[in-house]
Amino acid sequence: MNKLPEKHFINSSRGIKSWLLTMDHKRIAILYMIMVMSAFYVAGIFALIVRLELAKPGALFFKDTVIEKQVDKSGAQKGSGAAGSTVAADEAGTGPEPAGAEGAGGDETGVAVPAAAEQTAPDNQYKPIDPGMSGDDKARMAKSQVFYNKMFTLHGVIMVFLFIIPSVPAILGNFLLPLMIGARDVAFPRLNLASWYLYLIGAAFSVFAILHGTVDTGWTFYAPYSTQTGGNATVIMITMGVFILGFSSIFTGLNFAVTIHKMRAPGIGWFDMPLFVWGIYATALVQILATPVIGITMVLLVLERWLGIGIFDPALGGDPVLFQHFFWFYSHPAVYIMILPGFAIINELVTVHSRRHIFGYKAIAFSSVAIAMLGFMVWGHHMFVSGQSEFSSMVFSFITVFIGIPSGIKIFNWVATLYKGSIAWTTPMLYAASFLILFTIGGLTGVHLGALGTNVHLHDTYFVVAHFHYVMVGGTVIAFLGGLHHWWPKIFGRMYNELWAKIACGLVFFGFNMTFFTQFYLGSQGMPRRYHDYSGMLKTNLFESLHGFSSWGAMVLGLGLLIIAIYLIHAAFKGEPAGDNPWGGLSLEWATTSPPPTENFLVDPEYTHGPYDYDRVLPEDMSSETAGLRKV
Amino acid sequence: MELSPKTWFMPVGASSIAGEVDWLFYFITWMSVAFFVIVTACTVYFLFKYKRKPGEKPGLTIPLHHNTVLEIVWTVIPTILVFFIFIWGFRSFMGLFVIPAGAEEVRVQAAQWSWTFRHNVGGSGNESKSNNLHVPAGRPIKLHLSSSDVLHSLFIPDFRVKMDLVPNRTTSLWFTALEEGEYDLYCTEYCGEKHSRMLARVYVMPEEEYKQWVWDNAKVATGKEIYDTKCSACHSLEAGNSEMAPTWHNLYGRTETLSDGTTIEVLDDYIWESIRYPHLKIVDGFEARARMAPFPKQSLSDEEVENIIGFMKGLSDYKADEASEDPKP
Repeated sequence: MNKLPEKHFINSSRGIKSWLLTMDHKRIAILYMIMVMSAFYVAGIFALIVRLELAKPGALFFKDTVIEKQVDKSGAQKGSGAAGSTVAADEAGTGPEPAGAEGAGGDETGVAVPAAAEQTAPDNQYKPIDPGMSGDDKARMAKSQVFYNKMFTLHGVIMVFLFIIPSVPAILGNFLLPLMIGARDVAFPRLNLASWYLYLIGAAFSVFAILHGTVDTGWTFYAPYSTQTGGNATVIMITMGVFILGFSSIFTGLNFAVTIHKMRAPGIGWFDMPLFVWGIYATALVQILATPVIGITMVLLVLERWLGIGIFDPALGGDPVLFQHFFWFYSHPAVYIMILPGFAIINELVTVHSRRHIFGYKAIAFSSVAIAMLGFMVWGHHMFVSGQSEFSSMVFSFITVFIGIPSGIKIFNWVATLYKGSIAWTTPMLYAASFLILFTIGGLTGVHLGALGTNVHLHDTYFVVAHFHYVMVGGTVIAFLGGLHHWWPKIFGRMYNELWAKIACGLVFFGFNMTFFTQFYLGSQGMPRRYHDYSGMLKTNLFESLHGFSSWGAMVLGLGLLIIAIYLIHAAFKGEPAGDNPWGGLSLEWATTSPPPTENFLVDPEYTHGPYDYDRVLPEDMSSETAGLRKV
Repeated sequence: MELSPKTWFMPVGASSIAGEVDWLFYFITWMSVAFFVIVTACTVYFLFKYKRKPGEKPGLTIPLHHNTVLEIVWTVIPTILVFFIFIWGFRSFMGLFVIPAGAEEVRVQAAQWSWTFRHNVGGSGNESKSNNLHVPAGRPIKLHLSSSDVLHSLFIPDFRVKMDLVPNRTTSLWFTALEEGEYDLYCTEYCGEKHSRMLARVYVMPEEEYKQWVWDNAKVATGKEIYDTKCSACHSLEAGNSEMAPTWHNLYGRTETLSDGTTIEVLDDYIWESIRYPHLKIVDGFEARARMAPFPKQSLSDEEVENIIGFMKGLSDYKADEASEDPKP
């Protein structure tokens, strides 16, 4: 029977102060875990609200009578046009709610009789905004629209800035990086703690903005809408939040880069490190180089809103396309900040659970760095239809299609790693296999979007939403969950219930595919993203069945994630002791106790073998007493 | 013109460039399917084939660290493929942006949250305005795009075209619609509260019908403009006369009592007369009010008077001579 070590980093000192003022990278990782995972579940609830709203056309929240009137299966679009046709001159009106709409106000049956009107109404009278709605209905509709816009904005902002960017580096990176290179801590422990406090302050700004008012800009904050909407305080608060979170990210990246350069244990060369470290290293470089740009952009946005300095708003002589350039100059590299750590985790999962030496170590290591570098040169592929020059679009497309190559190489290497292994069907392995399948779909659909001709059609539709989620959830989140399951016994020294873990993994896999594969079809059929409502379109019926299915999938996915939270938290406190090396890993974090002692290793670790030498070393010979191979 | 390949994932391809875009889309899709099948099949096969048996104690595994030939193969083949895709994508992209000479121009103005499409009415200097897009089939159309507030984006899925509308800047796109019919047009750049209601329809019609539509629609539109600038100070559009003058609401076809006690049906003739010589026949009750100034030909052309009459007709329930009205598409 396994036993927990008597003294480890969790019980080495007690009291809330010992946690809030800790410099131990492992404790900081847990502090991060509490905050980041809370953000994840909160933003997940926002996502479910968004999916609920989209399950049916029309307004769901604050709806009352609206939904029944909007969902007119036989083509409400025609009818809604007909109702407004009495005043022909409104045809040329510039407002979305012309006088005809007011005239019909209070007419509760406005849409109920479209069939008769359809015959006589000139078709150029089609009006998407239902003029048959009463004033009350319109007010509810508006409320519902604003609510929806707020929800998808919060989902995006929180998922991106509070969850996925810090997730792997700040939690698993913080915990594992020093362990994997045989160090006692990161290079700058104080900076590490400071980054957590910056994260808290940034999150507080964001929460304030949420509670204070409406942030409905989307996570992209595109100008000039973002310089006009909502209250000044709200948008300034949330942009300042993003600015501060950016610094938290820079601190973490800087700390990791220095740690990897200077703190490796004697004997560990660059190509003796686990590939997890290479992935984190590439991420750190991008964090340091790209994040300042979002900081500057957010400051410019605040200056424009606050002081009226015209940078992005054309009314002040600014250029809105410039904002997009600035924004994506950070945010495209940022998607590599999000996905590279996912890659990093998969390296460890496929090797440990199949007991095979990684296939193509150098190819994987260099492809991480290649992705990090190329990632800086493709931001313009978010802007093919923004009005940037066709020449720029050509160059960006050219570089973009090639950035798929290093990612493809990694996939092939991981699959080849499984060849002739001894594959244990553990939960982390199942996540790794899910990753290989889902990320492949995510990556390949990126080719549709990178090619110019098809991008024009697919841009800003649900195809992009699906692609993005396949990469970010199917890639990063699945890898992150795999990583949590892989290292949970190392972090807390206790094992979770494997049966529940596998059930949850299956729910996540199927729920995710139900939710997002549907959206590829929605998008190629033309459904635009960020739409609160899709009634009154020619394809409303098709969209309804697809959106409905997608929403059911989201519920399944949500259920899976809920189960995970329950058994993981339970395991952290009450799980069976797992032992020092439950999976049989060869990298150095398995050569210490679970949970590790505050100083990481009982003795100075020694480099005796590579992290993937399953062809010459048996993991059973690893020992925490020697912090390496058992002496023979 | 290439026809669209048989459609299953993409919507109907109803424009001249849809064919090439769809071929590229399906090429990439089938290539993706091939790669996906290879990756998934290998993964699943290895998972089953090399599954560790319960209770088995694993030993050392094979020392296979890399394989140069294999690695070159799986680097070079995708590289060639994506290069080819890039060229193909660029070709179809240029097709989207090189606007053929002699394209019919429609000016598009986007605002939160509506579309306005303006057509020139051949030679007259008048404009034809609409909230929906009307185009002839089989002829290149150039859309001249601008926005009056925030970013918007014009997207017609069935035509495979999309372009952002940027304030203080003009952008453009073009297409040739192949088939008559009705198509959705969406705003695809998030623009605020009613973004999802910023919809319009594209009506593709035969050339003759289109010309007729532009002409008919222009009359109505400019009639409203004349009213706004020249008539609205005294004449209202609501039911019930103002103090100054009779309302235009339901005026056309109404029988009015004049100041001399006779009655008259308000039809084209009386309206013509009242615009050119307003003092001749005054509606009872308004003779003491400020007199309307006459509008001679120099200040209001015959065509413009027709436009006003057309506008008045639109405000009226009067349907007696409906048959003689121009057919609407």
